[in-house]
Amino acid sequence: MKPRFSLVGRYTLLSLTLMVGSIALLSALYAAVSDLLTERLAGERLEAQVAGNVNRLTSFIENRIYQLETLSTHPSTPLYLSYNDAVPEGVKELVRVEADSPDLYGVLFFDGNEALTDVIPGQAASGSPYWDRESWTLKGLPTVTFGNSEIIGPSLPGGDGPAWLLIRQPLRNSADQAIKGSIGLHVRLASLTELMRTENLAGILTFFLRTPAGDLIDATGNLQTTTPEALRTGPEVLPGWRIDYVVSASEILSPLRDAQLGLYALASVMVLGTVALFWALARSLRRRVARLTQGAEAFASGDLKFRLSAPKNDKDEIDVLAHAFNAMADRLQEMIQRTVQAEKLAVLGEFATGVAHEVRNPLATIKLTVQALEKGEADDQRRDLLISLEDEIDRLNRVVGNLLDYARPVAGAPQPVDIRRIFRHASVLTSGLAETHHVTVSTSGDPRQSVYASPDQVIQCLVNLVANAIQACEPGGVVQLRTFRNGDRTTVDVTDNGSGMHESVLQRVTEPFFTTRQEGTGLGLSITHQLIKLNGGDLLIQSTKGEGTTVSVTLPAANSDNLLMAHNTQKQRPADNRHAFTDPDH
Amino acid sequence: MPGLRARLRQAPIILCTITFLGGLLTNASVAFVMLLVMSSGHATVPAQVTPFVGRAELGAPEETADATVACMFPMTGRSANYGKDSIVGIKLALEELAADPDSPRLRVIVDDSRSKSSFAVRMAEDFIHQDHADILCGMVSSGVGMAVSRLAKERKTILIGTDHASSRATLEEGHKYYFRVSSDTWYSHAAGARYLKELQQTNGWNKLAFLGPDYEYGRVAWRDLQQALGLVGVDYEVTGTYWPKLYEPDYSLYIQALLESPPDVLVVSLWGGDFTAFIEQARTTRLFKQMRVANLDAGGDYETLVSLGPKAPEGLILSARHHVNWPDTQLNRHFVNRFHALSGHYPSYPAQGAYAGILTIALAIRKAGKVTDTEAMISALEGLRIRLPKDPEGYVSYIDPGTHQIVQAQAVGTPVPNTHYPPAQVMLGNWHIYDAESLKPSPALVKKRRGEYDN
Repeated sequence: MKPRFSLVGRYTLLSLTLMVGSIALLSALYAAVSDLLTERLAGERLEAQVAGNVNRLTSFIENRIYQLETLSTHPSTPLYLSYNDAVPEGVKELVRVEADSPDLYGVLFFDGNEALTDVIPGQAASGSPYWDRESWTLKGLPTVTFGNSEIIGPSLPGGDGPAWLLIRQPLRNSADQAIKGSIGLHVRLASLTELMRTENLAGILTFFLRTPAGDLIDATGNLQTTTPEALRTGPEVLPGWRIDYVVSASEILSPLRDAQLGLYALASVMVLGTVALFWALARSLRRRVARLTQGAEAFASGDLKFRLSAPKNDKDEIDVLAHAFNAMADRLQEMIQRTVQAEKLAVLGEFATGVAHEVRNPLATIKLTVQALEKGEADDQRRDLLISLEDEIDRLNRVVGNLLDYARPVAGAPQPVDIRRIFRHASVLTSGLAETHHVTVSTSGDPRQSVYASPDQVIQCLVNLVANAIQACEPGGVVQLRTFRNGDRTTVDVTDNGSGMHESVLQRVTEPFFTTRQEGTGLGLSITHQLIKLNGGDLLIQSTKGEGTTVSVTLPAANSDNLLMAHNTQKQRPADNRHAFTDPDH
Repeated sequence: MPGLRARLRQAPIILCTITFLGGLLTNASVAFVMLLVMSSGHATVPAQVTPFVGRAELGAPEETADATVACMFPMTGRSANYGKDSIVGIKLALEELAADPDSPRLRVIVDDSRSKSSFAVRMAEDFIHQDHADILCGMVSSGVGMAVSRLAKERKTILIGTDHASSRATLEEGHKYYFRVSSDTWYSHAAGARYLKELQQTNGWNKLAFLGPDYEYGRVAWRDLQQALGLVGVDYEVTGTYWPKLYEPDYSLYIQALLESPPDVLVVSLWGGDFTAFIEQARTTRLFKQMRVANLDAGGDYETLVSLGPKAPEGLILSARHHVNWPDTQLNRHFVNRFHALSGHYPSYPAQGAYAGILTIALAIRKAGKVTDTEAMISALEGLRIRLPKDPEGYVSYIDPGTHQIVQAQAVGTPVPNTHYPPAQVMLGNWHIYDAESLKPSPALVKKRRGEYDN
């Protein structure tokens, strides 16, 4: 039956929900933090930054005006206009020193008609009007008045060089000098615009200097040809001069925004990847779970031999479950087999008891009668028939005895038994059979070994195994008995080089009534197995078709502990060991 | 003491000025004027007081000297190394002259110009009037060089420029008393324009930006580059020109502007510590990944190469007025090794210019016979041929009579690992050599720059 909603599907949905939820939460958090950051960066300190820039620019202009006053008020300065050669060398030095600043192109003198009459190049002087004055003019430049100074310009940057402005003051006339004229500082505009800096706000605030002519100059002193979006009007620095600015938090936050977009892209890929992964996982899981289900259904329908294929080493929970399933199947199969066996035994026990009552006693009577008839029979031929009848009665009696042994096994009284004694009995009891089959029986290993078991039952088992081995051999075959100690266990191997068995036969060889020989009852090996287990031992059969068979009987080795136990037990139950071969009814 | 009366005459004027200005002067100006008073009027202080810091006299003593040469170099501030290396170059030249009995005996006075025009002009005046200097020389900053050149013109004193490179000094502002013995911005940018043309044929660059110091040198370098690119037929679009001031401490504004509007090629004409500072700031950004950066006149200076460390920023294209490892001639190796033996370090490029300046003056005196015969000296200098460390095999530098500019080959390269000149770990390699005659400005260009037009 196909599940309505698979477990993997639920996990997939849960994972996706968690992932998408986390991203949504993170995104919301990011938006809140970036808004806060923008507000703090651009909002709270904006006014302070703008005010700071205004102060810096105003201060720069005031310092230049102060510098200019030094020159414009000097009594000898007007000599530059009236009689240049008469200017004292000290005053010339002073003017050169004042001009020698990286912020100034030079100091300029104008007559009463505002015509340029003299120039003193400063450190940054270049081009007009220092090397030629032809193209240099103040015409068209805006002029604003600031105190007693004129701020002229700016002259915009162009082919003649960077932008500049002129700060000019009239020369102070002394009583004896009536010279009209002015002196100006030729100032780098960039020296002014470079002061429009921001502290820790790079990229958020961009300042522009708005000139009286309406032009926008950026911080490097270059003309801003296009008006930036969202340009805000700032405070005035000088009459007509203003600091405008743009707040573009996106500039500094753009890496974060990029990272945010990257995060979304990554999350999308992860979501898709998760779906694909879970889909593949679900397919695999469903296939494997279907196999488990198939196994369970097969088991339910009675196929106890069904096993799941699973790797030797567990890779995941499904493999563990498969192994557990197989182990469960093994145990269940074994348990069922035991139950069947027990039931068989129970049935067999009742049957055997019935046989004991109903068959053995009549058989004894029949045998006595046959024996009496045999003694009175003169005809040899008839006597032979009666003797054969007696043999068959004996065989029937043995079969019944075996049946009783198997159905009602009785544990023998364990005691130390020398292997030598066991081997001797087994050899003697099977020598006739061996001769008949022309098979050689040999023994090896340390015969001083001893086991702790019922001697009669062990001998019975070994005789049974040796007889089976002899019967499996071709004439000329060899049966070898070998013993060795393995810790507190002693093992006896019965090895023949006979016909061997198929695997299928080997699996059933200890089942009762299973036999490959026509004359066999199929109980010999079953009884042997049963008796060995009763004596705390194990039976292991290894066989290769066409090569032979080895039956290993492993029994507790005799040692000081079980010797003492045997002694105590013998005191309590002196006659128990005889029960194994005793019919309970006899 | 020479010039004592003149200094005593000037001192009251300056003191009056200080008195008048009183508290009006800023502290810096007061300090500076005081410094001027002290420098120009050191005769007023006891004789045992140490002369002004930076002044040194080399070569023959005044009494035995055939000529007095007064040189001004920066010995303090960001460009101090250039001045110090120039003095070592002068010492090497004087050693050579001392070994030649036929050479004139030169007395060479060197002093710290502080890279200020006002200071240098004052100093040059004193050299002429008080030290009786026959010839002026030196100057690293073009602004200072131009100011002293004007003074030399006024005072009719020969000035041998050894390092300042504005081509305006020999073209627009050239005059008969001014000569220059190191490559100028025209030569370096003419070579650079040809390199950029070759580069354009390789990678197809189109957008060009220029960043130079906002003073004479930077402005002329940009003009020279544009004219040179036009002459070799390179099509390009200018994405921006940037003019930080000389000795700018922070280039972040300009780097940010370049990153916002990136060109394919950025030509930088910063020099010395300014260029090093720019690289140090720029290499922390994506600037070198986004554009090729070329400094065609001063970027290949040895000290700059040292500052690049073990791995130069990618894409740098550099040249300088002299290279430690080019040309690989015996004369250049000899000069570089002697410089290293004398100073313990390898020379920055102004050293070769100063060395060339002294040798040129000596050779001109030998040809003219008498240093005081200014006209004869000028005639001797015009067209004077002199073999210098910068000359590749088979070439001899000469002073162009038309411009008074020395005519020399130019080599442009890129940084490559090279530890033969420690502590530098990279040196220039992959040279592109441009021969001297091909770089020389055409007569038509000279006329155009000088505003002379054929009728």
